[in-house]
Amino acid sequence: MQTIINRKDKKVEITVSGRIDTIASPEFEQSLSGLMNEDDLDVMMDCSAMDYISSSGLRVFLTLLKALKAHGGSLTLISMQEGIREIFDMTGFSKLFIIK
Amino acid sequence: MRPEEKTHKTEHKNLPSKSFARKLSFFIFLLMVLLYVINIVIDYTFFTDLLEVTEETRKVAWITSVCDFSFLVTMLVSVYFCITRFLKPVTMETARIENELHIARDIQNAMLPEAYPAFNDHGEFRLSAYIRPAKEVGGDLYDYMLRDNRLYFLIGDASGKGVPASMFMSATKYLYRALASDNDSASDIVSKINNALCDNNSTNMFETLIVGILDLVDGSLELCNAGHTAPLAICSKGSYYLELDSNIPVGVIENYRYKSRHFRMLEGDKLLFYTDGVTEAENSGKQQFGKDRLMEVVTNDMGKEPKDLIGSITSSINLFTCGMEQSDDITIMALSLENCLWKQEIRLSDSIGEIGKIREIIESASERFSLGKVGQRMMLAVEEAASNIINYGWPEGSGQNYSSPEGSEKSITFELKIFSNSAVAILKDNGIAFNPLEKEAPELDRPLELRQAGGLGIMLLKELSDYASYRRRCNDTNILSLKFNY
Repeated sequence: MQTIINRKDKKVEITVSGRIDTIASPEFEQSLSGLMNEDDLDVMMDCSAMDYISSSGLRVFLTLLKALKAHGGSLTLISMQEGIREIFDMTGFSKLFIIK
Repeated sequence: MRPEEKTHKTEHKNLPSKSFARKLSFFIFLLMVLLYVINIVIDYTFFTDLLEVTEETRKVAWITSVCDFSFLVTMLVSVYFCITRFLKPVTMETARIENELHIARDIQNAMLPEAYPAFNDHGEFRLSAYIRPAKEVGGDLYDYMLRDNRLYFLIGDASGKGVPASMFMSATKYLYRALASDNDSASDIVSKINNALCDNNSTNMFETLIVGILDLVDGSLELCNAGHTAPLAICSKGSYYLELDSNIPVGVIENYRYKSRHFRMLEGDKLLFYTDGVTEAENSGKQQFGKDRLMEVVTNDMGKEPKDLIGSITSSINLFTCGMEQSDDITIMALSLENCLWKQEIRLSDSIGEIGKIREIIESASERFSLGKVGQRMMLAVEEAASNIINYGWPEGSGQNYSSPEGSEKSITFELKIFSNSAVAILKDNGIAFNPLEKEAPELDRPLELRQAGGLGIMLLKELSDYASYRRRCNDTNILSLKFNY
């Protein structure tokens, strides 16, 4: 699991790759923690290389979304793989996130 | 697929049928025509010599012929009317009875579960059944259902045949279904069926049956026999009739204590249940098909799957009886535990990193058997199940002491079995009793602020698997089975 974060002022581009499973989720959350307390962040997450997510990973996404929204920011998920999209659909997460 | 239906002509010994009326009319018609012809022949051969053939005598001859002919026609017409009038109420009655029997047959067929192939989604076993009543409706019965990863099945034979037997059969079927839905002991189920049937049984009907429960997790089998023909077992050693306590049929003595026997079915083993319509099928020489012949057919075809094995047996019976009328209902039910193509089992410790070991096994099987998307579904479902066990199986203060030498070790095992059309993943642990399948699904439509992260894992494992069952064994082990089809 790898997270690459590119910041330009309030615009944040994240590229996440690999497996966000139960083992890797704490690390994933850790890498995003810096973004959870800042105001007005506009975050775009490229999910094209993310090929697995478990409920622990979903939890991190939810935590991030709530934190960003609470601080007036936004989160957009891009290029999600089909299998991952199905998981988001199944759990109703597709309704919570902006997915492009 | 409906069980094979054979429409047998109903015989009502008290009432002549329509075809009888027709045959009778035709016979009388022929008789009358014959008499008339004889009459004419006699006239010409005997009397032409005695009388001179003059104009007078020719006229007389012609007149007598016309009279004879009119007489014939009148007789024929009146006989025809008499017969049809007499038989009309009778044939209408026959038609009504036939119609009701057709409806009864449809009802009875609808009561029986799918004949074959049953449980296509469960690769670890195969089950097939076949029933052919001797009359429109019969007293033979089979039933099966899957509950908590256990197969509950029944085969039975009510005394007699036709409508009375079929009524008894339907009572048994519904009793069995109700009992098997929350009873885990075959002897218990049989005892309760017996007591219910003994109550108000003034007609002294009885029934032989076998109730069986097969645990798909470990192959343990309980069979309780109530006076029924012993089943045939087929295993690597060969085929043989199982020894079971025969007890007595149900519906005879109230509160009889039925005893069952316990076995273990191994992969590759088969069981064949049947009713005596099979072994007592007769040929024209009054010989019976018999148990030896049945054993022979089964032994010759023991490699066949249940559906085809039943086919061999029915072909053999048909060949043997060679068109003789079927005297009793024929029922056959065959069950097999399939050989698994590949399996692996590991023990895990209770650290979350152990999930990596599970992943290795699943990935290895996925690659080997080209499981593709199914493999991915399986990985996620098993990961969620395992995480739950690891994270919540041994909460603080749960009263289970695992650190002391007296306390047993925390134990988690993961087993993966691959069959030809499905994969079975089994997780066992000795943590607190916890049934993930009982937990309520999280509300998916809640707005973001109210959405909680909990419950997602359980929801995923239920959604991603094709069949999930949980069982608590001996009050110390949780067994979660997840099946995936491809």
